[in-house]
Amino acid sequence: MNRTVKDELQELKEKYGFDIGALTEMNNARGTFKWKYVLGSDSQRWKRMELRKGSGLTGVVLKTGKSLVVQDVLKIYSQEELFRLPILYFEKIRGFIAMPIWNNEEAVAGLVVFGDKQPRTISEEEYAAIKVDVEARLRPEFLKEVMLYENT
Amino acid sequence: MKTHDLTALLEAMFHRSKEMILFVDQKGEIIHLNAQAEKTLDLSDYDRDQFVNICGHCLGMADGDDPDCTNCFLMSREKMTFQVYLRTRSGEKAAYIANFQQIDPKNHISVFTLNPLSELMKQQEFEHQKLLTQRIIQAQEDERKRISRDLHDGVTQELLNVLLEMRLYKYSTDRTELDRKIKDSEETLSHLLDYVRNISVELRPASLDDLGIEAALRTHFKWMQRQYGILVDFRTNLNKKRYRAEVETVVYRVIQEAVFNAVKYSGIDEIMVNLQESASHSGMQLYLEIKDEGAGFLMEDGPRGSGLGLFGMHERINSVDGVLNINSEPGVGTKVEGYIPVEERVL
Repeated sequence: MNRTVKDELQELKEKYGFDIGALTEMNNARGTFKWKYVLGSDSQRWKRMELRKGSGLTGVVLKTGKSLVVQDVLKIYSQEELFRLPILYFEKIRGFIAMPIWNNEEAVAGLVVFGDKQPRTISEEEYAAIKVDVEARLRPEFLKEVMLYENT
Repeated sequence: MKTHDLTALLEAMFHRSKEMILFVDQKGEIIHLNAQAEKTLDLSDYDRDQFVNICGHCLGMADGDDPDCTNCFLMSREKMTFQVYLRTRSGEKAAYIANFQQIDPKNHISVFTLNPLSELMKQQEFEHQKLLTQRIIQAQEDERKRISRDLHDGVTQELLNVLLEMRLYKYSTDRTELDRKIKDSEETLSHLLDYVRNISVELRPASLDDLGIEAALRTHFKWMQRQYGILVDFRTNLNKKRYRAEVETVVYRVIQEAVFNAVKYSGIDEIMVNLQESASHSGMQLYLEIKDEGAGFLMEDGPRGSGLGLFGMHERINSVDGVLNINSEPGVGTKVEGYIPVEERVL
């Protein structure tokens, strides 16, 4: 059976015991893009949200090309600031890891977020393991779907 | 018990009381006033031998707003308790809690007693004001911090990037490569333009001044959908009508705040906004309604946020002589309604 990027996302979310697993569409030149999957969400809002290269959670990760790990959002963001990060606010995420996905041209092509509704300690080892899994399992499927999408 | 004469006691009470006691007739002319009243009120402009009128001292009744005389207590036959402003001897305007009661219906004589707004209440009001001011200042600082960060992280960084890119142009010998670099810079600049436009619209949409409430709200709701994935079902019969700038700003900001609250707390995907112009008993009015069928809250519970949002909505509506009602029930949803008297402005 053909494995899809959604299957991989679902499996990684379960493997590391996260409540939410979210993946963006391919970030293209047009400037805005959307969430492709938000697994574990019970609302439809994320389907309509537009993400920007320059702002919010996606902005930070896309611009720096670095992962962002936050153990407890309430310790670093005020409610007002949190409201400006809608995916965290609406999915009630407390602890999360946000990781860029690179394409073959060494540009950030997308973003994956694993989040928990509780504060969560993510150790160096766990971070490294997630990173390896994202690179080895999620990234190839993500880029494959992008290529398919672009060829149709 | 009965050894003291009631008349003597009443007289003693009248003369010695620390509250002001005045007897007035239906026209407001003062028949008697006690020592406390005489001491407090400004009698300098009057001929002491003549009857003076209470209206010479009274600045009007007040119910939290500016004092006015539209429902003068002199017209009342029932006992009334209310707040009133008087001019005092020291020339200042002072607030009193007043009682007014007709005691002689045949000659239309009433007794009017006045107590200064207690020190405690003044103190409470002062503390409340202080707290409010602190919160407003804090909110203002937070907002500045946010804008400053938006400008620094978004605009400055990107501009710096483009600047660096452009500096590198001159080292490019390959024309195709240069073209690609120029295209990259162009893209960055166009994103930046979008970004700045967003900041500016968020601060205050130009369309509100240029095109009116309806256009500004439609743009805002589209932005809400892109930013938060929230659908706003907007109905209006305004049809590009224009009103006084203050009214338009109030309507826009109140609806914006109510919709933000619904997005933040209702947990629901769709919000209904209704804005209608209609005839009222005293002319035309704008009716605004923001409704969600979400989580709702108990009206008696304290605010989830700073509480400044609701306060601001009330203050804004008051400033244009409107009224605001908020109704909410857990599990049913929340409805915010407002009425503002208006006249259409012809451009």
